[in-house]
Amino acid sequence: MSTITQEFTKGLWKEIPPFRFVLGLCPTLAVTTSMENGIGMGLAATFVLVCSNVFISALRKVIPDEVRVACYIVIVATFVVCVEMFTKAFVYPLYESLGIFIPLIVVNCIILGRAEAFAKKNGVIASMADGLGMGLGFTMSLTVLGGLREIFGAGEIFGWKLFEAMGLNFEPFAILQQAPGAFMALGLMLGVMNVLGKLGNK
Amino acid sequence: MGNMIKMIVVLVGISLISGIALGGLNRLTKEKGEQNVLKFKKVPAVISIIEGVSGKMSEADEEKVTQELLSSYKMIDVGEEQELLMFVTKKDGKPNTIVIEREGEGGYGGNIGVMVGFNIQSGNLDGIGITTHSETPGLGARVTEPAFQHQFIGMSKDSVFKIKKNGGIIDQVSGATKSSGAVADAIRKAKATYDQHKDELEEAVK
Repeated sequence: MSTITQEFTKGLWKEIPPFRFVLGLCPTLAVTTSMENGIGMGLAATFVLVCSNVFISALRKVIPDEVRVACYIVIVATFVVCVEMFTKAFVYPLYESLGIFIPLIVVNCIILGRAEAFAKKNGVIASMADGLGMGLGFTMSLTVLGGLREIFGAGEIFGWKLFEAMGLNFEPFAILQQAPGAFMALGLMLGVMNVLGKLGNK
Repeated sequence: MGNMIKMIVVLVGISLISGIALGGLNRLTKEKGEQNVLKFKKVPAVISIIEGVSGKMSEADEEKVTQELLSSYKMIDVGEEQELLMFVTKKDGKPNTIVIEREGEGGYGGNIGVMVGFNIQSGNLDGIGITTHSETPGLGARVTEPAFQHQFIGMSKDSVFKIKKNGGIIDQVSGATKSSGAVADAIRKAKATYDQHKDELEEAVK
């Protein structure tokens, strides 16, 4: 049981995907203009990751090695299309703001990476825990990044004018809402994570 | 050889199951998705036309009108690939405007979908609303702002629907000639469709 917990928790901090592996950066940088988008993207990717991990792990003895990548892609793509249809039908505003990045989850390196590095060698339960942990780690990263960019780039949080409500006269750094700002915010966060990691090791 | 067959069987099997599952899900969610496109894209554009004619409405009214429009839109067959989406909006309880959607070509980021409202009595423009566009934020995307759209309210049906630079009467958004031109293109197309299918459209109002 302890190994299952370990598989789950490693994705939350020790191997948190965008910061430790620097994987899956395309959605990380592109959709995190607001906290809401970050959470939405993270949860969508988590769903795909958990489902694909479970299926790939369950089929790991059936899938021949030579065509495994093709099989993985088909399985991942199936769940991504599910997510796309589902968001279009039930959370349309989110579907609009994530746009092309929902279909692009198919080529998210984290998902294929976990399939290749974990699910194809481990059992179904462990793979599920791994997917859930990695997915939630990804969601957390995107939420924090999106939150930072929204607060300092637009002066809002969930569309609520934070600084106005506090009575502060704050001019948002508009660049944080744009692509270069995404890199800056990510770089700063990576730096902070590294410092924290070093402190933790001492 | 046995391995080869296994490869083919597994890959085909997985693809087949995935195809069937997705087909089923598509049938379940398709209608809902299309309704959402209407609700979040098309109807807001129509509402902006109504607000141009009758003034800003309260949120409760907006909700009510949205429901009304969602249940009353019509698809008109105009003998093209796509059916024409049409709304009828009311003023003081009476049908006032026929709104049809056309796409304008030549935008900076692709086609621009425009709802164009024609007054039933006079045939003049009652206003426009943008449904879909991918113009540059802060530049071409300013065609969605009231400052640009206001000029169309009450514009005569005999006007030349081109931007001023091309000899028409439409004030373009400065720095966004292409985007403004695409909107003008959509209006010209809508006007042509309206003239050509006037009888069918008016029949649909009743």
